[in-house]
Amino acid sequence: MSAPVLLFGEIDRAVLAAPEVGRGDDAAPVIMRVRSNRVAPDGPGGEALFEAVILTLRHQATQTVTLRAYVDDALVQTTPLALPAQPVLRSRTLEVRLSVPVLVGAVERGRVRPRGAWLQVELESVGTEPLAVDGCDLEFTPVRRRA
Amino acid sequence: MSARVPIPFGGSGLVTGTGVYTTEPATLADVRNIALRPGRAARRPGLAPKATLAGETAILGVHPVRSLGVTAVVAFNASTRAVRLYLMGPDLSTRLVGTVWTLPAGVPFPRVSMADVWDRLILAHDEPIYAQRQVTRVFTPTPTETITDLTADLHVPSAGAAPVRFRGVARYYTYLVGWGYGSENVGDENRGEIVRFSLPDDPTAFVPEHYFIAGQRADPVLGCWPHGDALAVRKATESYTIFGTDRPSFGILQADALFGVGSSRLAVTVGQRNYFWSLDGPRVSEGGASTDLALPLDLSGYGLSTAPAVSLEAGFAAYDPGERAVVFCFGAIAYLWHVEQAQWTIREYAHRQHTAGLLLRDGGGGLGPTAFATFGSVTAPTPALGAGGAPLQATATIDGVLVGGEVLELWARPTAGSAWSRVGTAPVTGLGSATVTSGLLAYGTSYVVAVRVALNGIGQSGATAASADDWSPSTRGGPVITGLPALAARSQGALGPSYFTSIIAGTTVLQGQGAMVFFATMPPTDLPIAYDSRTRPVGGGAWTDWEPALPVDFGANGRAILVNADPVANLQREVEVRARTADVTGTGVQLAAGQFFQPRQPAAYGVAIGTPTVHTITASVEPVVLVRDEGEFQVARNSTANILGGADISPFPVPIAFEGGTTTAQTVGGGAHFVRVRIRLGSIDFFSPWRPAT
Repeated sequence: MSAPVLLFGEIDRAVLAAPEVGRGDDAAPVIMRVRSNRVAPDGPGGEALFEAVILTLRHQATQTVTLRAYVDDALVQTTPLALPAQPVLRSRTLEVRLSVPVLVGAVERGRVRPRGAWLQVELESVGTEPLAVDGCDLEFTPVRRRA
Repeated sequence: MSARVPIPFGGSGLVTGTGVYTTEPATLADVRNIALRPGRAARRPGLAPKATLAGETAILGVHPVRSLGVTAVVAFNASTRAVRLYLMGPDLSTRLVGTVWTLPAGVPFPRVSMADVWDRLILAHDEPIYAQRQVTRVFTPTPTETITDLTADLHVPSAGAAPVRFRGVARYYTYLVGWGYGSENVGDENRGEIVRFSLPDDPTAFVPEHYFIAGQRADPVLGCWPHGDALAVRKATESYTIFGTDRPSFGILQADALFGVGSSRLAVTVGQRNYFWSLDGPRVSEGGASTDLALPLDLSGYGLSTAPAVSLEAGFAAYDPGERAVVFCFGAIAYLWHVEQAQWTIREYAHRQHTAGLLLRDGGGGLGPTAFATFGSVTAPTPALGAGGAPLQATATIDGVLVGGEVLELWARPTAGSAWSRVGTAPVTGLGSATVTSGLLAYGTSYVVAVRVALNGIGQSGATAASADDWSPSTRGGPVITGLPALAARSQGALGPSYFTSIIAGTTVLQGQGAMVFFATMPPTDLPIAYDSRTRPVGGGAWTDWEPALPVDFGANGRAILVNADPVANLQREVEVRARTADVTGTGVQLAAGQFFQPRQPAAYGVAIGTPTVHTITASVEPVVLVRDEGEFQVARNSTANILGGADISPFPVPIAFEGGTTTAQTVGGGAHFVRVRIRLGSIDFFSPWRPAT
């Protein structure tokens, strides 16, 4: 005997649907969005240079993932990540360097690491194929630790 | 020096409780459409459509009927205002049973409460306004399927059975529990606080004295849910517990004076716990006071302005076995409480959901068949040309007892594969021999097959597993290889290029240098095609292999061109080309009526003799249609009529467009003049016979 399946019934049309891996909601893709909690590597009153986000994603089909980094609740970087297809379902580790522009008169003169107390990461992907976030690390340089 | 710290994902689900010092880092501030897995967050499965009920506009309820092994689906048609009952088998096939209610105009969008007790399904119209509430109905599958009114003599003194109008029904042990109805005594019908119990040995029999009063009159009970050894009775702002198993032990106590359920469908029991969404958010109870589940969710928490709003009236609760989570769904938004992990996630669906229920899989029994099929034989008929696939046909012997509505199913899987699929069905008309034919399968492929009798989507005993490899051996057969279509030539009269003329129909005689065009009807990409060809003198003689200069390429239009590359040697010969599928040895199939084509002569050719001896030559050529897209069309002039040899002296200088027409004039000297058409395809020239000046 197979495990029972939860069958959903819609109100706007007489359609019965069931969860199925690798499928969207009828023709619509599934928008996956995950935002981590805020982390303060040097403590709530400290300060750090945020170097990079090391992201481990598990997939097989071609995927596009958007990574957004927030420092002290401000969006500092949006990076699209294109994941090419793999022969089997397995993890792939990506390193996303973090940087913010140095503007002089609205002209970018350089880029520096973002600096602050709190970092938060958001991942978003639109699709139907299996995709999992296996892990996420933050690489940082301490500037001032909270005593 | 840089350091590294982890940013946890999926560790603890959604927690929006605010405060730096109270929020665990290993939680998620926001989460949409993920499935929590140990140590990771994955994209949730999509909701894939499995069945559409034609003629209906909404799904009202999904309820498993355990004793029958099927799932009841109730649907609504907004135009006819009919509420109808369907049965869905494990294979997702649906069958209409009948109309439950036809709602009068003005009755709001209906909600349905269902309970399966014994082999029956009871349906109540969950309508708060008593004047608009419909009669409670009972679906009885045997001896014949009926949908009838639930009636009971609850009048005091007795006045005979009358229709009952429960607002909701549930099953508790072997009892049918119904609430919201008092009795047919005048003024006693609409009793929202009354919870009635049926007799234990008959779910449709009620005694006037067998009821409980839950709380204050006119404050209606919204729902009852069994959990553990008790029955939770919930109103909007308070809850009660009915305990006991029989009349002497039955009793009712107030379980929770503050919390009830937000609407009649927002609760579900998982194991010993009843999960429900109160006016203050989600809670859980094991029979006594309930516990708040909203704390980690913190729906009203600071900063959670983007939290999806909930509409209690539209909400429902269900248990998802795949996610091991309680789903609280409000239209297109759902909050999932993952029971074992004690964590929350949020899901956003593309379509608004109104209800959910379990689809029983491979349950068997109940409405399953009492007849069975034994495999007989399987054959592979030759498929029609261009059909796109090849069928299988199987025979079986039907035994047992037929009740009507049975179908004989044919299942197949590639011998080298593992996935079974149902490939054909046929109604069972009687005991004994039966035949079933599949749809189109892949050409020339080996399959193993299985047969079974099914009723209401439930397979015969011993043939209910998802894989037919687990069925009784007497249902299986094969392997068998599907057929290949026969190749045949198409009449080329309707398709031949207009500028080509047929020299000899039938077995072809080559003349000079030209193209031999073969037409064959075949699936352009389904089959690998190989060919061979042979030639012999006109009128007979020994066939010898003949390899044309250009390979045969039947292309997408099923036509191929063979070029006579050696005009001298192949003059006055017959040619036969045969085509076969690549995996068939032997002679294959002859492509009949290979035609030899060459361009037609120019339609007219005039010479105007001028002074001194100057001739102006014009030639008109009819429009052409090419077999291939490339090509160059030219009219050449020669002073000697010579089919072979005799190079063009002075081709007309400008290639003439394919629209045909009249060439430009050329000034020539004296002597005989002839013109012919040359068509160049790639690097090969094709020439028409010469036409002398008229």
